[in-house]
This record gives sequence, C-alpha cells and structure tokens, in this order.
Amino acid sequence: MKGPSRINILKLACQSLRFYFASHVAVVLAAATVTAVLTGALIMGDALRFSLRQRAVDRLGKIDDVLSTPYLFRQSWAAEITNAEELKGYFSHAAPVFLAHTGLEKPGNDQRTVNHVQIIGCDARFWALGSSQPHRMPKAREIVLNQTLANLLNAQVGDRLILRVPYLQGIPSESALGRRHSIVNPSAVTVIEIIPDAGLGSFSLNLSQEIPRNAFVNLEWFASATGQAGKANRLLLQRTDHLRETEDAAQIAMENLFLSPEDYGVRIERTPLGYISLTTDRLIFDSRIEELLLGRLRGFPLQRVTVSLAETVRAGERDVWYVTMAAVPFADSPPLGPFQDMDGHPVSPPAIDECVVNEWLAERLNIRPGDSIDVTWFAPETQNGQVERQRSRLTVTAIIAMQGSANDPFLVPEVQGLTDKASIADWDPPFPFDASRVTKADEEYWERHRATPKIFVSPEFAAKYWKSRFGSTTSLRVVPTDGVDVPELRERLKLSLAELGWPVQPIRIMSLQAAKGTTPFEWLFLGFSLFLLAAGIILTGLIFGLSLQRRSVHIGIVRAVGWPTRRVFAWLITEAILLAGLAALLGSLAGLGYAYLMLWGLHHLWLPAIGTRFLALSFTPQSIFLGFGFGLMSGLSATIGVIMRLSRQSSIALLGGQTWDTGRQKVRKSWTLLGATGGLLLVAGILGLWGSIQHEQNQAAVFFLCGAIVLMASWLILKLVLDQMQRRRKSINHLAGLAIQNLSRNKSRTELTVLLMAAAVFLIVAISAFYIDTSQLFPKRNSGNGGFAILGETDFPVFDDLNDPVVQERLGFTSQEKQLFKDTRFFSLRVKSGDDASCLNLYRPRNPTVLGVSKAFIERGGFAFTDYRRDNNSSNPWLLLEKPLGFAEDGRILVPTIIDDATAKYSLHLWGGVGDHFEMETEDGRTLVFEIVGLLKDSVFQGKIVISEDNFLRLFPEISGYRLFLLEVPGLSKEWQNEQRNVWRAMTAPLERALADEGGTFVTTQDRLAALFAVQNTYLSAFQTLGGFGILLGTVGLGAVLFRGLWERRREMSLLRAIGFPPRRIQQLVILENLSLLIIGLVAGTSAALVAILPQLVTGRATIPWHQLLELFAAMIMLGTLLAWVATRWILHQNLIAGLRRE
Amino acid sequence: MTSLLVEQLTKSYPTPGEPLVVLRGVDLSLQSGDGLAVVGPSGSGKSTLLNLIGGLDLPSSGRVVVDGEDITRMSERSLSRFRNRKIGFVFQDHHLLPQCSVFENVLIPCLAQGRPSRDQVEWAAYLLERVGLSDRKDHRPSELSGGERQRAALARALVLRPVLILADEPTGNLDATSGQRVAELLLELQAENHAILITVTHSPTLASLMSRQMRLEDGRLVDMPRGAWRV
Repeated sequence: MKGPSRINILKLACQSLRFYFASHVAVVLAAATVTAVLTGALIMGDALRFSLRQRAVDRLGKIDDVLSTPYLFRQSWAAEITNAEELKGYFSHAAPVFLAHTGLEKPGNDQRTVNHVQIIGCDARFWALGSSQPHRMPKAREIVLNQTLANLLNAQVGDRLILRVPYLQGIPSESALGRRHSIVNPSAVTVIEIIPDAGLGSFSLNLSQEIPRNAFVNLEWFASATGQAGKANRLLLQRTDHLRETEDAAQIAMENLFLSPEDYGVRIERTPLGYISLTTDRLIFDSRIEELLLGRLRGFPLQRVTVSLAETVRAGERDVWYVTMAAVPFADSPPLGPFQDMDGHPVSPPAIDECVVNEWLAERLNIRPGDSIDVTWFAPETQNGQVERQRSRLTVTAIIAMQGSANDPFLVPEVQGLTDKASIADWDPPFPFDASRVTKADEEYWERHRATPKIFVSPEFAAKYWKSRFGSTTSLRVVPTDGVDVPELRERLKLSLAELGWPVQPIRIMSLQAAKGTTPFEWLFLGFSLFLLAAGIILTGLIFGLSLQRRSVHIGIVRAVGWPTRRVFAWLITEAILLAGLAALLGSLAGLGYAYLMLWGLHHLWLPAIGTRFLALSFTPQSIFLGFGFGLMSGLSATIGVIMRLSRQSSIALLGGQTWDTGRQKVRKSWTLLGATGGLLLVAGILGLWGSIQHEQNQAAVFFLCGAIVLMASWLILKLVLDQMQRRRKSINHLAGLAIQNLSRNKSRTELTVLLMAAAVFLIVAISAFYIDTSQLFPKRNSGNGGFAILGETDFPVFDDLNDPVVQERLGFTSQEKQLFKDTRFFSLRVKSGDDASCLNLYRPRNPTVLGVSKAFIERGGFAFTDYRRDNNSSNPWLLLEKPLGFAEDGRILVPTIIDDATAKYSLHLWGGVGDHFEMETEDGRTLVFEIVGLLKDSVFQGKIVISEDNFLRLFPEISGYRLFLLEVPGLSKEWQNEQRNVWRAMTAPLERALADEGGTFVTTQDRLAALFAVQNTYLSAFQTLGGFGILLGTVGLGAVLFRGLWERRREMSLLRAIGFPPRRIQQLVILENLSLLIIGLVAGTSAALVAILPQLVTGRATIPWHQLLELFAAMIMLGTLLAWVATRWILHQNLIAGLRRE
Repeated sequence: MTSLLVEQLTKSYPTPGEPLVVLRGVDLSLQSGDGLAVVGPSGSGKSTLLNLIGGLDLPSSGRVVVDGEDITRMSERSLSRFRNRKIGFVFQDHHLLPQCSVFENVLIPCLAQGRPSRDQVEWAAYLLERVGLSDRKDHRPSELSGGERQRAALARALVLRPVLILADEPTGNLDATSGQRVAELLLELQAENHAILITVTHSPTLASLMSRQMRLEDGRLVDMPRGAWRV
C-alpha cells in the first residue's frame, strides 16, 4: 500500500470539475461572455487612447514645438534659431510655414467648393519633419492636395482650381485705415499631386480625429500672394532627441529666442531731423509691445506720437479735406522740438479743446490764433464695416511755421496705399474718399511735404478721441544719446519670446495629453453592454445553480457524514474558483474579439459617434489582466450565492433531492407582499406627480426612476401570483392553465427569468425617451436653436451689417432674394477659433472656440437654459454676460461666460455648474479666467463658449469682423415651418454665393443640431443594440435552463406519455410555459417603460423605436419557442420506462 | 461502553390543517453491540426516526443522547462533528460521489476536519479488503455493480469507527445474494467495532439477523417478539 492518499479539497474540486465538465460548459460560456464584455470595454478605452495618440503623433511627424505669433516673422529666422548659440543642442530643425484657412473651388461642369481648407505654405524644410513628401515641391501657382480634400473636390492631378488667397495686412481691419473689402483674391492653381492622408498629409495643429482638408503650396509664392513676401506665421520646431520628453524645453526656448524689432513688426529708422523713429506695421503699437519698448528705452529722451486723419477741417465757408493731425508733446529743443510760431516764439502746448495749425492750413482757411475750426475725423474703430466720424470744435491757439519739428513727415507712419502714393488722387483708401475734394494746393503740399501733419493737438485730446482697442500710439520718437544709432538700438530692442509672451507650445506633449480623450470609452462601452453583463452574470449563477442542484444528493451525503457547512462551502467554492478562472482566462482573450466587434460597429453602424474611421485595435496588458480579474470576480459573485445557499441546506433535504427552490417552499404571507407592492406603487405615484412639475431635464430622470419602481412592483406582484398559484385549490381543466401552474414549481427560477426579460425590455424601451428627435427641431425661441433658423460660418471675417439693404445689394442679392430676407434678422457673432469642444471631438480640448455676442443679441434673449445665475432680476440670462464679476483670487478679471451644459460637463469637465471657473491660455501667453453664468441646453453653441462682444474686443482686440451668423425668420407657425423647411434650405444658397469669397457655409440650425445630437442618439442606439444582444443571450441561456428543467421533469414527461398525452401536446405544454415566461417579462418590462417615458408620450416627444422593438420581441419569442420545441423533442426521445424509474 | 438513549421523541410536520404527527413519544435504549431492526409499513416514520437519531433532523420534542451527549441540544457545527466522529450512515442509495474512486469515496468522511491521516488511510484500506473491494479501489462507482457500490458505502460509513451505525434500507436496492452479503458484512463490522446498529428494513432476512426487532406503529415504537415480524 502506498503512502497516504492525496485526496483533499482541491483534488476533489478538480475531479468534480472534470467529471461534470459537460454541464459546466454553459457556465464557462456565460462567465466567459461577461469577462469578454468587461475586457472588451477596457480594450476599447485602450484602442481609443492609442488611436488618438497615433493620429496626433502621425500628423505631427517630428514636430515637437510650434511658435504661433500674432505677427508675421521672417522665414529666414528659422535658420537663425537652429544656429543660435543660446539654443545649441535644443532644436535640430526648424521649418517656417504659412498657415491659413480658406476656400478652394473647382470650376467647370462638376463645380465644387470646399471651405475651411487648411492651406500650408511650405517648402522642403517642412517635409523634412515627416517621413514622406511629394515627388516634387510645388512651385508658384501649384498645389498638392491630401486625399480627403481631393475626394471632396473630386479633383485629379492636372485639374485647375481657384484658391482664395487672403490679403493680409498689418493694420487691423476694423480700424479706420484697415481694409475690409477685397481682402480675398482668387488665384488659379494647378494640382500637381494628391498625397495620402497619412503623416504630414494630415498635418494639423488643432486636435480632432477628423482628417483635415489640407492643401500644400509654395511658401514663397503664397507669402507674396498674401502681400507678406518673405514672411511666415508659424515656426515648427524639432527638438534634439534627448529633449523630446522634456516639458520645460519649450520654456527655455522662449527665454532664449530673441526677436529683432522687424520680427515683431517694428521699423526703426533715423530721420533727417536726427531722432530715431519707431513705427509699427500695424500702424498702432500693441500696448504690450509699447510697454516693453518703453522699458528698453528708459534713459532716452522720447515722445509718443498719435496721428489721425481728419476728413474735413472747416472754418466758416472754407474747408480743407483729408488733413493729417498729430498729437505730440511739444518739446523745447531739437530734434523733437521746438514748435515756433510765425514770429519764432516757442508755442505752448494746446489744451484739450485747442489746437495749433501750420501756416499752410492757416492760409487756406484764412484763420488766425483765437479762431475756431470744426474738425471731422475718422473714428479709430469702425462699426459694422462702416467708418464712423467724430467731430469737435477746436480753438486755434497758434499758427506754427513749417520748419523743424513742424515740418516732419516722419511724424506719420507709412500706410500702404496712402503714404506710398505719388499723389493724393492715387490714394486707394479703405475709408470713404472723394477725390473731387482734393485741390491742386493739396497735391502740391503732398508733393512737397507728404503726410506732414497740418494740425497739432494735445496728447489728452488723442487719449480721449483716438484711443481704440488696438492702442493709441502710432510712433515713438527717440533721441539717440551716447553714440547709440539704429544698429545699436536694434540690438537693444531685441525681445525674447518670453518677454513678448508669445508661447512656444510643446505641441507634441500637449497633443499626447489631449489624446487621453474626453470620452471615457471603457465606461461608455461598459454602459452599453450593461445588459450583456447582467444577462451573463445572471445566467452564470442560474446555470451553475442548476448543475449543483443535480448534485444535491452528493452534497447531502457529505453533509450527512459530518462535513460542516464551511467544508462543503470550501469544496464548492474551490470548484467555482477554478471554473471562474478558466472562464475569465477564455473571456479575457475573447475580449479582443468583442472589442473588434465594437470597433466594427463604430466604423459601420455608429459612425456618427466618432465622425471618422480612425480607430485601431490596441490593448495593454493591464486591460487584459484587469479584465481577467473583473471576470473572475463576476464569475465568483454569480456563483457564491448559489453555493452559500446550497451549503446551508440540511443534509436530509439534499439527500431527498431538494434544494432551496424545489420541494417544500416557504409560502410568504400574502399581505406582506401586497403591502410592499402597494407601497412601491404609491411611491411611484408620488414621484410621478412631483416629476410632472419638474423641469423637462429632470423629468426624464424622475420618470425613469418611477418606471424602475413599477418594475420592482411587477416583480412583487409576480411573487404574489406565484404564491397564490401554489396555494390554489381549484382544479385545472386546460393545458394553458397547467402551463401557468407549472411556473410556480420553481419560483425563484421563474422570477429570475421574468426579471431578466422585464429589466432588459424596460431599459431598451425607456432609454428611447432620451432620443432627440431631430426632425422636430423647429426654430423655437426657448429651445436649443433660440428661434434661429439658419447658422452660417465663414473662413474670413465679414465686416458689414447683413441686415443693411445696401450691403445686401452690394453682395449681389437678387430682388427675389431680398424679398426672401425681408423680415429676416441677421445676428453676427465674433469668433476666436479654437479647439472643437463639442461631442464630435474625441480629443480633450485645450482652448475652445470663443464667441462674442452683440448687445442686440443679448437683449433679444432666447434659448433654453438648464441653469443660470439667479441674482439677475431679469428673466433674460444673457444679460449676465454684461454684468461685471470682479476678480478671481489671484487678481485676474473674471469674464462671464455662457456655455452649453453638455460642453461644460463632458468636454471641459466643469462639473461645478454655474459659478464654476476655468482658465484658458491664449496664443500670446495670457491666461484668461472665465466664470460660468449660464448653461445652455442642447444648443447650437455646443463646443464653444460665449461672452459679450465688449469683453471679446477687450480680450482679443486683434480679431476683427464677424465669422458666425444666426438668422431669425420670425412669424412662422409650426405647420408652415414644416412646409417651409425647403425654403430655409433655399435661403442658404444665396448666402453662400454672396459670401463665397469669405468661405461662407450656411446650414439650418436643425441640420446643425441633428449633427450634434447624432452622437447622443448613436450612443443610445448602440446601447439598445447591445441590450438587444443581451436579451438574445438571455433567451439562449434560458434555453439551457429549459433543457435542464426538462431533464429534471423527465419522469413527469414520461408519466404524461404513459397516461396517453401525445408528444405534440407535451410540446405545446412546454412551449406555453416558456412563452408565458417571455410574455410576462415583456409585458412587465414594457409597462414599466411606458411609465418611465410618460412625459415624452404625453407631449409627443417620445421616439420609441417600435419597429426595432417589435423585431426584437419577435426574435425573442421565436427563439424561445424554437428552444422549447427542440428541448421537448429531445426529452421525448428518451426511453419511457427509464424515465419512469427513480434513478 | 457506548449507549444510546431516546426519550419521548416526537416529530410532527405543519400542514394547512392539523399537524401531521409522525412520531409520538418514542423511547429507546441501546448499548454497545446491540442491533435493532425497525420495521413498519411505508410512511410509518421509520426513516424519520433514523434521521432524528442520526442528528440529520431535529425532533419536535424529546431528546436523543448518544454516549452521554444530548444531540438535540447541539449546535449545527457540533452536530456535524459528532456525526462525523460517532455516527456512520448507510442509505438505501449508496450516494457514492461519481467523480471519486472507491478508495477516495471511503475516505470522504475523513475530509470533514482536514486531510486523512495515515491511520485513517490504512484503516480504509483494511475496510475495503473486508468488504472485498480492495482490487476495485481505484475504480469509479460507475464501474461497480449495485452490490459492490453498497459495500463501498458500508466501508465509508465505518471509516471513522463510529459508535452508532444507522442503516436505512441498506439492502433495499439489491438482489437477494448481494443483499445477504451486505447484511452479513454489516453485522460483522458492527460486532468488530462494538457499535450500536439500528437498521430500518423491509427485508425479513436482515431483520431476523438483528438481536432485537421493533415495529413502528401509529408513531410509537413497539417491541416485537422474535418471529413476529413475519406477520
């Protein structure tokens, strides 16, 4: 005899597993399904992050940092950077590019226009940052398209396209001297190559999974075409390898990269009078740059000069047109002074309502000191594209001789189109200009003195009348000392990027951060698959319980021979652990398959949720391990209840083949159940009444809860009915009655089955309440569209008031179209482009797009709000945008903002609601602090933040014009709106034609909202689809339960046959039983669901997918019937006599 | 010296109407080596009596004292331990675990408190030899005949040397020859272990082999004179 036997609990468990494996297969499959779903969801999260990361890395190539400046800089600066001593070892490569967004048109029979095309003016230095490049670099008037853009244009190599080239000027467009029209020049280009979307073909500095519409042109040519030859507006930098992951490398670059004055738009020149003049390309100095320059020039005598242009200067009956004015402190000594009168005496500085005129003007107007003149000048800022005029009456205090400082044309900076013209008649000004007003004397003055000012006013006057959001100083006059001349000054005035506040953005690192995504896909897919998980877990427990029940006698015998409960538990739990472990292992591997299936679903069925097919399957070992772990836990949790109940059963019951749900079952007191049911229904009723007076947003949630309570009450009613059936005394006299009665044989199994079906149906039907019916999104004031019918966006700013009939005339509207727009109100919004923070973008947005709304828009009000700051007495929350909020804790000004609720929560992760703050870094290095004062519900502003126009101009003074438009078409009834949908769509065509140069795209707000809501609706659809699979899985699993149940009842079946029941009749009995379970589940679930969506049903907002549901129910019933038929056929084929025997 | 004392043992079951009284004040006293056959018509409560004595069920009233310990007052845990150490069960159905070998089945009671000791393994081997199954020890129950399975069950019941053996229709599912062999083995092993044996049986052969016969009538245990069981 060998040593002691190695029989132990583990060995017993292993042997039991091997022996009963056939019946455990279903358990393993069910548990493996749960694990596969869990693991698959985790893998989906991996796949999203991987794909976003891949996309971000792919489209950036080797680019690590990007410098975006508000000024155009020299292209040659790129070479200086890589060679700079201070930056040795930081950057290995630098590429200047010229980026713009504009429209591209393919003329001809297949005419197509694509707006919002990203034009990349580049050269070989750019392509060196990628892994591939076009076969040859495009020359002037040649273009390379990426595949996406080529497809949109249906363009081929050799095609001729029209590129809308923007004319760029330094002077702000909304200043009086800024250009507002003809700023887009169509230019013919030829397609030389179409490159794949991969790599730099999808280059973009904005983060979105969408493939950008990229077109590549010659850098030199494009810069020249924009009027900025030799310039660029982005610098792309590649770091040396060892610095790639170093976050502060960008900061170091900012501190060590210095720009010459020319690079930040400042010209330095020595004047004949001996001072050095500093002027700017923008005509007016940026206040930050001015401050920096003044700091650098401390110690030098200097003056700040502001010039303006008067349209007319009148004195009595005489007038002179187009007179330059200057505000300059009067200095006593050269070269900045003195100003002397005709007698050679120094002239005192004028007061705010006074002026000094030169002798030429005095003679023309025949004025003397003490006389008054009426001056009309062009206001520094335009309004709606129109130059405004301001007037004042000034007293002439002195007439100055035109010599020395008073005869200095360098007081006026160069203005292209004006100061570079040989005569005034050749002027090409952006303001209203009547050449007939220019006299010969004017031209003679121009010939001799150019734009030398004729009127001098005080700096106080300039501060009052000539200050704008762009600044006020037009030049700095510096007196050089200590031998300092222009070259020395140029060197002294070099400013670092850090001083200028122009950030070098670590774009790669930032993109990888953003690639973590804003939508937690793992949780999303866990949510979608909730029903599959629930079905799997319930079935695991159910089938495992059945297999244990079959062994109840054996479990009874070990109890009888003295095994304590814990020992029995240890044996069975060991088996369960081994089973769960095997299932978890299989499932975690199958999770890859589930994830693949989900990817396929996203790419084909649910594409609106992600926008483009960019996801690639990827997983991390952690996800597999986690999936395995969760799967193991879920398998154990499904089985542990069964094991505990069985372990505690008395041996005598187990030996008799009885378990917790067979044999003598506890009959509950009816009144307990009745009471509980009544209580639940009462709670549901009260909740429903309360919910009916709630806000629509909360109503859905309240009624969902009601429905869930009704579902629970249905379960209790079922328990009651089953108990009653057990106690029944009346005889059964029909098959259906017998079938129903049989449901009470195994009450817990019946309850579980019905509950599973009912819960699934409830969820699938009730969730449809959250569908947004986009076909019903008519313009309605207190809705997400605010009552606006049409929304338009342009690539280039529009300055004119589109409500103005004169403007409409100029835009080429026909009289029919003007009639169409007769009662329409246009509202124009300012736009600072940023990241798309809507649900369409899966990347985490850094800086969302900012919109500025006008006073008229604010006063109009409208839109639906989920919440807003309540200290406003008015019912119009938009007014809150104009109410100052004070300062943040760190002293920065708080900017009130209104955001779409979904954007705030799900994109920007601002869960604090109204009153929450968030920060945004601008391209010039400022950090702005916004406070939420209102949250919009399901609005067209999703993805953007909205502030007042005043705040917008204060924060972003450099942005001119309007780029977003909302059209209000009032007076429409709902029925008329239905018919007129085509009319609205017809309105967009003339608008796009009129604003074609600006790249205008107009859509109905219905279409825009439909695109935004498509994401939510798609997610709901995915939930319902996967929920449907869950139900079908449940139905299949019930088949296993059915087979098992029939096996237990084989003696009963044999007896029925023995007493003469034909097989068909027995089949009908079993089918009826099974169908009863399904139908009770369907009815219970549907009833509870209808309660859940009651508000939507009453108001007609519910979109229950009846067609889909009926298909699903039909599939369930057919499958259930088929399984019952197959199972019965199988059991009836067993031997009759063997079935009648005990064992 | 082992003793069994049953005093006024009563068992009734609740029904919608009157409670169903199965046992009415059963009294019994047995010593080591005693053998008792309990006979009676079907449904008279014979198995119920056996289950109560074996601690598998609780009486409505009365007590069962085995070796001075009142098992009706024990906790579930203590009762399990008591059953494991002191009582051996033989059922009409062998209830062998199909996934274990014959030898492993015999050792199943040893797993209740841990792993089988060397002594227990040797004793199990001896018992298998006694019941004539030592050459089948590695076989599965499905490979044995009905008689062989019942003999294995017998060995299992005795592996921990119980002081009280309770057999419920041990030969009920066996043919006459197998049943005779099992019955003889049962008595032999009872004698060797000086255990008390109570058997519920319909078998005249088995009943006649026991030193005492009692009949369960109307919920009461009544002595039967020798030979009276034939009636």
